[in-house]
Amino acid sequence: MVVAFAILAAWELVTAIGVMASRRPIYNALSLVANMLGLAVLFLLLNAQFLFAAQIIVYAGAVMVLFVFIIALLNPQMDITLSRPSMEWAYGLIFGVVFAGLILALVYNRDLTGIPGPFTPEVIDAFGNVQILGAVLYSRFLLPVEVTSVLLLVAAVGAVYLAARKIR
Amino acid sequence: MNLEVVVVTLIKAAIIILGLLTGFAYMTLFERKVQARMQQRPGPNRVGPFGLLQPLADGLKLFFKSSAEPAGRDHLLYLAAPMLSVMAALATFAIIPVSGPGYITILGHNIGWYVMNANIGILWYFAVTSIGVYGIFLAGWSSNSKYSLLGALRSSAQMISYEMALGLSLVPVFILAGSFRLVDIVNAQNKWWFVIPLLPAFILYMIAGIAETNRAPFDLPEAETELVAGYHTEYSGMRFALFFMAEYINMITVSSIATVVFLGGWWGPFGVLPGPWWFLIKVVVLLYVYVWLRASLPRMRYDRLMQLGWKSLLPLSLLMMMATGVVVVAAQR
Repeated sequence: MVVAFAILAAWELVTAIGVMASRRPIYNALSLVANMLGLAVLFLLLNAQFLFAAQIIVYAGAVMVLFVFIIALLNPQMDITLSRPSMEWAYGLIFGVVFAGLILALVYNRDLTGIPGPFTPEVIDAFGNVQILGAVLYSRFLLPVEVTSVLLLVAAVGAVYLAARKIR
Repeated sequence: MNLEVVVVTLIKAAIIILGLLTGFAYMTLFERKVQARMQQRPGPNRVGPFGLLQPLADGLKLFFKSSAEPAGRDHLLYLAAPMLSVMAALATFAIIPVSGPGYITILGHNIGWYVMNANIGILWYFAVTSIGVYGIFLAGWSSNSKYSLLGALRSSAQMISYEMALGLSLVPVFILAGSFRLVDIVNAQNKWWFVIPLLPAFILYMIAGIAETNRAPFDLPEAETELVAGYHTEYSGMRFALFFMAEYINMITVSSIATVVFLGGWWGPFGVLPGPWWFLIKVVVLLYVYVWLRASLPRMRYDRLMQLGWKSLLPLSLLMMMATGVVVVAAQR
């Protein structure tokens, strides 16, 4: 388990660096896909099989495909040369140090084992991962689920409206 | 996670991969033979008895061909794309139970008839196929050719659109079976195959499945008359064979899932044959339908294809899903 996590963590770091470091946009996008796949496998290590599938289907399979589409269609030149403002590195350094400090403070001050809830691995094995997630989502968290779905509906209607207006 | 589980899973995966590759080879022969008969021709019959060694000859030919590569390609992605396609095609089969309901006992070990009896079941299929889209898209993009790029765009747009209808057409099954696990779904069909109460969903699934695998009459990505060969125009030799392999294995997988989910998987009407044979017969019948459609239907226009997907199949499968839910809840009252 620890070995698997170490390999995955290394994978996540390498792909995350790939998202920023590559000079060609399609490789940036593909690194992000690889990063999301690694994240999905992390969910799998935590016994969250449904999240594993949802992460891949929604993010790697749908959202990132659109990114890659756009990049492939709009990117005739091989390299993008940006004029690099010198202050960029300084900002990056400051925020990086602050963020690393916050994480270190958390790691040293908190007990990271967490509190066991009602859904122990035994309970989940008895009822099934998907079934329990569904039951909880549609009973205890019904309101957030419905509000989110209305939000997505509004976004979809908005997108259709904008697209239709352009055609006219 | 003990050693036994790892070893058994690896052996099962190797068997499944070998089976799928053989299945792919003979699917090409089956398709050519059946199509030839439908067109009043004998079909391949020179290599071996009844042309049975034809796939081997084709494989050898492709293997020893030189691989021409287009200038200005993106080398890494050009090499990775066919591998990604085949990997995704092979990995999807892991969840399919070939027989059941029990185990086979070999040397005192109880071994299930599947590589993986995952809790998420069919969601694994959707997750892996959504990765397979990248194989096709990157093949078209990295080839640095306009035919390839257009073919890849068409193909991936088609796959993403029809994946929705494909997934939603299976939801009524989950409602009836109460599980994503394919073994549970087949066991729930002990008395009645789901195709009987859910015939519309089965038809929706098959149409969406044919579009998802880019087969005739929805083979727009490879429309020879306009796009040469679509996303794999610039591929030759063994790399071309890999795309071919992925397409045929995807056909086998779509048929297998239809068998497991709608046609009762390993259950036969009178229990005459052992489970795996029933499974095989049903899959071959569905593959025959694929070939039949290819031999008899003309290709659709692309805008009609998209309209069919978004304006007909998607609402119909949503309707089917709601109707099933209402009936199941009403029956429980």
